[in-house]
Amino acid sequence: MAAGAAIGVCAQVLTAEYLTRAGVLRLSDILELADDWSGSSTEGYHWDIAPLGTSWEASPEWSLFIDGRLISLRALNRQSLNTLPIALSEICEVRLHATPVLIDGVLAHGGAVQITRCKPPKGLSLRGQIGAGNETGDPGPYKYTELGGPNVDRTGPTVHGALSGSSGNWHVRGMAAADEHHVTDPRIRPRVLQLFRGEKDARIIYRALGFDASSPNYTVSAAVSRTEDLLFTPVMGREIPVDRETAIASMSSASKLLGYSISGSSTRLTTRENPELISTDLVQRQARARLNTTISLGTSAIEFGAGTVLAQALFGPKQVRQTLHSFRGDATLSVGPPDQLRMSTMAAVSLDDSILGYEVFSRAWHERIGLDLRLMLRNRAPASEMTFADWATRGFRPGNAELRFMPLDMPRRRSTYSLDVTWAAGNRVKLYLSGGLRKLTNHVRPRMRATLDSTRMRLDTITDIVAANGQIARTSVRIHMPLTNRFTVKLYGVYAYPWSDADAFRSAWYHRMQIGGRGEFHPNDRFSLDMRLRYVGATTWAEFEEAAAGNPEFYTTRLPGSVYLHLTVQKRFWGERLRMSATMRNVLDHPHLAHPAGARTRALFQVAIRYAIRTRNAGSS
Amino acid sequence: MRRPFTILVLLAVATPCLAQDPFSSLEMRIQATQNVNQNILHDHWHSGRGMKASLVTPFYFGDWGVSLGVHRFSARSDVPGFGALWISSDWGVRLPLGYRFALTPAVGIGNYRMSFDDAVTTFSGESSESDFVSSASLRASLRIGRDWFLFGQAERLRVQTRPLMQLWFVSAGIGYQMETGRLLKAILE
Repeated sequence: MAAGAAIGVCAQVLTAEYLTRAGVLRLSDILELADDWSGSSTEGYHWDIAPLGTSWEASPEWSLFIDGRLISLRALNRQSLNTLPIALSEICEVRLHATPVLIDGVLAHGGAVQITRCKPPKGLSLRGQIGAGNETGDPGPYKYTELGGPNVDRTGPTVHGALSGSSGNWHVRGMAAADEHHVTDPRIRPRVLQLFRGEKDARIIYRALGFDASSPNYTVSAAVSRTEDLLFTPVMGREIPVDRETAIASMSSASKLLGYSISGSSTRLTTRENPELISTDLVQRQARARLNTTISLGTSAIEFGAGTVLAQALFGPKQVRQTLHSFRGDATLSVGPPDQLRMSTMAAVSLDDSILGYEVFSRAWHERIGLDLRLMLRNRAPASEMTFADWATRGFRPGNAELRFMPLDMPRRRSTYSLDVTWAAGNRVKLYLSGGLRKLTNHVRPRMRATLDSTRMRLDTITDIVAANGQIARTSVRIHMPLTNRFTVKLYGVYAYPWSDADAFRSAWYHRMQIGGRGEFHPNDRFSLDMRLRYVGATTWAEFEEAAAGNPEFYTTRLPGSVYLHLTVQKRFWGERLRMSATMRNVLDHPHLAHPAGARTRALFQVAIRYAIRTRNAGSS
Repeated sequence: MRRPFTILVLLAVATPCLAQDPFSSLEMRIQATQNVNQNILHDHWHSGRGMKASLVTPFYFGDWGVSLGVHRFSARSDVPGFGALWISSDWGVRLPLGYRFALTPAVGIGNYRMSFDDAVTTFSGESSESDFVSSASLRASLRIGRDWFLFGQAERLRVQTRPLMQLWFVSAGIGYQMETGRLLKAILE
């Protein structure tokens, strides 16, 4: 396993070692490490993320994979990594694909976050992490004087642990995790206090349990999380007091002759009692099954797969039911020996609610030359993704939100294509250049009109569901320079340029540029310093124009570019058993640096302690 | 031109002090502290004396240590008094000036926890506050035996409240240096 964050030709790879050295406390912290992803948060806990150039506030098109299984967390237009029932100490690596990718026969056309869990070490082991963060800006003792402002509380405590037994051929593991987040931003807290009439503070509380096991040919896993949530949704312009339950389960066999995988995920939002009578009850379940077989033909191989998806959503207190059946058959041909030009092509046909669709993904690459070329064509029914826009077309109105569906020639199928090329060069100093073009046709997204009711500290929004077409061109450059054996520097820059005739499409793209650098100093394998500096280009929220007119100090429509500084010092103690890290991030609490609907983040000092206790001394953490 | 030259001179002085056997020795220090500055905090609170205990060991570069300090602020106006518990991780470079005398500039980060007396609170957990604290200090030490030494220290604390709490402390204390035991060295390494 590479010690640092490797740069794959197509993906950014964050190893477990790097996540520890970077002081990652929550899964959403990987956004701080991502070169070409950007995101936003209203309360600092749920982060809406998306590959640079695409919109995180429209339907998130990126896919989440855990151990090669597609898991959907999408609920109310959002896919929040922190609600995932998974412990950081279980994670072996995270791959961030900002462009279309094929993972185990499944096409992630909007990019992917691919999480792979480690097999536990031999013997009995207990590993986990304890951490907490302290945001700056508390009034401290001044809260008892006229000088004191609003309170800013801590992040966490964040605790998780995984107990496992393994013999090398099999393993059994149980996991438990807990987290808390105290929402104290002056734009958010009054809204929440009003919602609960001051009886409950603005806190997000997360608990999770998980189990997984494997034998040489089979793996099985199940996990569930419960989040006492305050989910802000732009389409409603306010927080929703919900209990969110997320459950995932999977079983698979890795046989080459006939492999199979069965997975399921469920998200349940239950609205807590509130004086505003907001109701957003939603249950969304998906079950997936896939059979695959691989035939080897010398240096070539062909894999056939067949899969089905049964998705169901229950809306509102009356549990109005929507069901989707999807069938998909695919074939992947891989040709070419190592060290020569290799090619892999996947073709698939699908039936989504009886609507015929197709997908083609082709990749050609030469490892010695360092060239990688990928082409994707996709034409499937919108229902295949079960996004917020799809629900809106079926009449779902969460929390009595005012949705206006604009029937702009809504298509039976949504088509897209993308073309990406990457070139890697150099031995010691490595240079990575990439560029790509992506086309979106009849992409559906909400367009919001927000007004501010300042007496009640809430935003009232009217949301139009509109269809739009456009293109995005992306280019990136990365330079990886080991200056000495102990000091490595990485520089990168990403630029995305969207264009379209449609206003809704144009205003959907926020961040366009991101440049940054990272330096890692590690005099030995016991101690490391990780420094990151990132500049993110200006952003706009045109939808908040009316709200900004009402209260320009709280709600702005254009945010200037900002610089993020991240510094982590990490040290091992007691052999491989303990690792401590301390992280500092910079101050971003000036009003005009905040998301229009709430804070992005504040300066944060956080400490994490990782532990690994084992009965047998084999392998390393 | 003067600043790079100064940095070069400082580096030349400090470099021999950086190369050392990490975790080979352990220094235990205890000191009495007194807050000496006056600012808006002191319009409402009167500072009392405090104590601080530290453990310091040679690191890969410089010296690394952890400290635990307590001090009290009594109410001067209609506010509750509070006790402060301050835990920090410090890093410094020891600059020997002769056989017995040494100067050690150091920086530190940590947590500053305040527990208020009879606080009237709306929500639970607000009777105490925890905030990030950074510090910078200069310590002068005088060896008085093979293992014992006396020292005096000037230290500036910056507690990241709003408004900022900026506290200057002077302190004096005694320290003892010993070889790190095998078990403790194994833990620290």
